[in-house]
Amino acid sequence: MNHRSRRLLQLGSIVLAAGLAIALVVVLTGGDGGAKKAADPSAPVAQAAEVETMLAGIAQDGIALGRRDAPVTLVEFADLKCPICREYSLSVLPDLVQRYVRAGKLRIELRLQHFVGEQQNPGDSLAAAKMAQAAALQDKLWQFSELFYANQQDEATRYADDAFVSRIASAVKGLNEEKALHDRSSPKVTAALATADAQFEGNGFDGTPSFLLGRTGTTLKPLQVRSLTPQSFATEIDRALGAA
Amino acid sequence: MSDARARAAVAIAALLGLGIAAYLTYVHYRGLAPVCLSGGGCETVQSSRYAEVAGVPVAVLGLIGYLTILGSLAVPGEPGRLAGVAAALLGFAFSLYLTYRELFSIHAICAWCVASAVLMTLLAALTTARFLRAEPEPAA
Repeated sequence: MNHRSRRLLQLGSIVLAAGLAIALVVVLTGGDGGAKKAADPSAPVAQAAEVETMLAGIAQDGIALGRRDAPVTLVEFADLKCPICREYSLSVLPDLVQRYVRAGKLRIELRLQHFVGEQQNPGDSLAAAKMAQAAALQDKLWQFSELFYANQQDEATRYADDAFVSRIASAVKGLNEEKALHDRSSPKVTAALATADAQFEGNGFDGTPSFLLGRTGTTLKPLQVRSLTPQSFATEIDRALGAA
Repeated sequence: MSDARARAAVAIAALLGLGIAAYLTYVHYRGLAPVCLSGGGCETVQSSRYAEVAGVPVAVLGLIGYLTILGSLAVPGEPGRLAGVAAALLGFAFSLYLTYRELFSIHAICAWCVASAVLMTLLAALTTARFLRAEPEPAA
């Protein structure tokens, strides 16, 4: 074997070893995405009671959760199929609702994006966003979005079809499911999603979740948190509350 | 490109990569958000579940990778070139994996990670060329 053939063989071995190493990393990081993969359409909607309890008695107005006159506003740009948004929804939002929204200190807006999985499943994320935005017309966006996250499936699959969004909607108390399905194609829903897109791009965001924070009624600024933990957000919200 | 120039190019790219990895390691352990040139992508990526492998921050893995490539330049002859290309190709494969995660799992792009991936791609090409083009060493 000449030296060139030997080196090519060595290179091939290195490439093979690198491939095996990456396969090991994929196994160690838990495969693809980590969201639930079970897609049983007849399964009961998870967390329905918990979500109702978390949001019970809190005012909703379209995409906003909390009092209109709350001194600080947080805007979240999120995609319902995004697993990191789900993490935020499960590990951060309940704390913020309990600590700030219920106390009338914070108003949170949810501006829906729709690009997760667009390459593999065009239109699926948009279908989820349209139904959520239609729920906002009935002031039920937050129950719908929280239940969607609680029942989120593998982002690489197409699952936000009529059956899935109807199942989520049917678990939201007080939401007229038929009206919401009809309103998905309404000009109000289209306009709201277009506004959310424009604001997302206008703020230079390139991923979800992204946030704006500031005193209500002023120009909100992009929020850079150290990590997706309640304390990281609390620090920034307290700072905004303290600012005159 | 002569071997001396290729070595110099590898050293420069590895030093730049080392700087990026050192910065990301620093902000990771200090609990800071990295300075991000566009939106909140860096923070989203850094705080995601893919920012660590078996408890080790990927920034530390990058640090080890770039140090290994730099160290390989100090080893003369074929063993040094072989160690360099092995580290660079492993780093390149890992960069491909991280870029895939950014695009399809995290849905956010971190400019620092992109810069590191570009440098690792360059290093993989340079070290592969060095390894294949080197004159065979005379038998002892």
